[in-house]
Amino acid sequence: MNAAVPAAPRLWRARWTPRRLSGPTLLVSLGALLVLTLLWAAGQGAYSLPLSELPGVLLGAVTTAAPGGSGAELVFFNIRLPRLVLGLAAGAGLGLAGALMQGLFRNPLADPGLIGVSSGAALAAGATIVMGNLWFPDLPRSLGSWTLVLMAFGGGLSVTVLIYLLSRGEGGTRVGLMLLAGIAVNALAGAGLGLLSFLATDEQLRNLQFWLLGSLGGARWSAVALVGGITLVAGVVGLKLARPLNALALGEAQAVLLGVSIERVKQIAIVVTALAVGAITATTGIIGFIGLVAPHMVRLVAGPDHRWVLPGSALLGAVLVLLADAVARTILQPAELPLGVLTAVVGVPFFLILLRSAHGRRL
Amino acid sequence: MNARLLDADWRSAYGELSGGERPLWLDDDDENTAPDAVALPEGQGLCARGVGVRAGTSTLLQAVDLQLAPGEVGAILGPNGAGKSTLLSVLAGLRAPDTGHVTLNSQAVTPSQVHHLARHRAVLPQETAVAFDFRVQEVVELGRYPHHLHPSINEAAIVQAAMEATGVAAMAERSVASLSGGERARVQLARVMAQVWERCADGAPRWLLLDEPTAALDLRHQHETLSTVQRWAREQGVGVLAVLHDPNLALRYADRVWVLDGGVLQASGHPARALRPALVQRVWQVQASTVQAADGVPQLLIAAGVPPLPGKDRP
Repeated sequence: MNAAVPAAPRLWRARWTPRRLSGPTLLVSLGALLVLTLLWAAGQGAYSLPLSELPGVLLGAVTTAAPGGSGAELVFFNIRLPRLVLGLAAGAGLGLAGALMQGLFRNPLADPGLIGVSSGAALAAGATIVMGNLWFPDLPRSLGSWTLVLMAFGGGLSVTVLIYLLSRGEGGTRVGLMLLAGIAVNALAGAGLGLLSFLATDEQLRNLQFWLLGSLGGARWSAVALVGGITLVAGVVGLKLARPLNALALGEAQAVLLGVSIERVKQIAIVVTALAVGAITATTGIIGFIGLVAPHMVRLVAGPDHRWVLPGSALLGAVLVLLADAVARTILQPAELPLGVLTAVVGVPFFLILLRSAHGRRL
Repeated sequence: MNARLLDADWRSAYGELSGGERPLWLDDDDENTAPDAVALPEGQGLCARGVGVRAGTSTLLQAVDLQLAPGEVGAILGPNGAGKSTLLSVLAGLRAPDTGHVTLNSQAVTPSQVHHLARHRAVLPQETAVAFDFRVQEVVELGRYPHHLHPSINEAAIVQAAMEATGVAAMAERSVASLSGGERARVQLARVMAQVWERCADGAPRWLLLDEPTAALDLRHQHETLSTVQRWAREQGVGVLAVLHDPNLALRYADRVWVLDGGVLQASGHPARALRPALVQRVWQVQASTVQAADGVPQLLIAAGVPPLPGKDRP
């Protein structure tokens, strides 16, 4: 069927087909970048820990029978390491969730917050901070800081369930409706937060603000285990959606005709995102921008195949959060900048440069 | 390649079929739909019986019967809003009919079962928007999704051959978003052909449902596309059913046509018998006369202007 057609001069060719990294190259590069970031970030902080001392600290922990020998070891294992692991898990979870949501909504503007999990968590956390003492005077003491975590986690999941139910129609979940319901419910949660900050005392307001801007400062091993465990499970399940999400790029009807069980894919993607982002947000507060930007960057560099975009976004999300947090805890020592500010400052310029480059010309 | 071999077993299963010899009757004077003649046992092939679809108070389809054998090319024709695409989506299993039923290879076609059919039946959509910046080859590879658990030994060759069949192999590395509408349509055609390129292990016939495959194409590609799928039907026993706008394309390439108007079947059967000038005039409200193309194929010559109507819109 290839009749002789004179080949037109392909002047646009270079522009339309920018070079892409292959999937394995992408993952190996990002993995290497993540290791370098971890090594660098391990040394950064109020207690500076030069890279040359790191092997000693690690070896010391293995060889010394009694834990907590030197000051460096104490700092590293009780403060630095949980913080690194939390940053790793949070970044990976947010990046993966962002890629899942953009794939599910077939929309590069989607982010995990769209299904209400962040705003629900924020509203519940805000209510706990501002009104908690009013309603349950004994609860904070008995549960300690877990109150806030559990309230935020529950709040995030509840709002997600609400949005999911709102978007149910005959014949399944309607993704467009879900997008709009998500925006509307997010706006409502925003109004609720506004009301709470109006009612809050100065101290509560400070707590609330700090929570809304995110921080890895509260990293304890118990919280790290919660977030890490849930993110790991979410990752294993979420990565299985790569092929169905690729088919979904052709539209829901075509995905169904190609044999995708579309309702199951939607449910899995939403549950995975809600659990991971819910747990992350509950322990760290709202870390914005990672879920939106990490998948974009990966697609711009390596193309839209979800088999690479999903793991790539997780790796890149982890790198971005670790970088941002390392800067956040060192730049204004001894004070700590809110992480949410830093993720934007680290991510946005890089993102904009990519958008303006040849890779992003046709976005 | 295996896939190119002429499959003979479906012929023995369904009896020798050839377009001209089937008993055909259907006069365009018939107001009601006569059952179309198929040399197939009831329920075999692609079969719709009494399909009706309502949306609110309006009737989109009413008591439509259709049966297509593997190896045949069928065409659904009709004016805008006649229910062609609705019928195709019912046949594809995307939409449940309010009355009647559809079977494919003797299996019920319903929305809850639709994903089980993916290895035997591909559907070309009317709209071809692809989210994200996929390249031509990647889109065609997506057609192989139903086979990813049991891949063929020549997956890469299938994708390449499908791209060559619709003339998009030269743009394999280009982004789909950078293509023209017609090029995009041919990429999608390559994708659906790749989906059913090889016969599955169970040997069941394969089907290609095409919703307006020629709408975005220039003349040459309209004919190339339809002759490609026609050859596919002839050589490999794939059943092809296409929604077409141009009766002349149906006259040239289809073995069997169904003409819809207002959701009701107005005529069906052999194209040259069904697409008589009187029917064309009644259904499309244009004047038509039959002529012969240089190669002897009957064609319709459409006269300019709509014939004057008695006072009101069409019945």
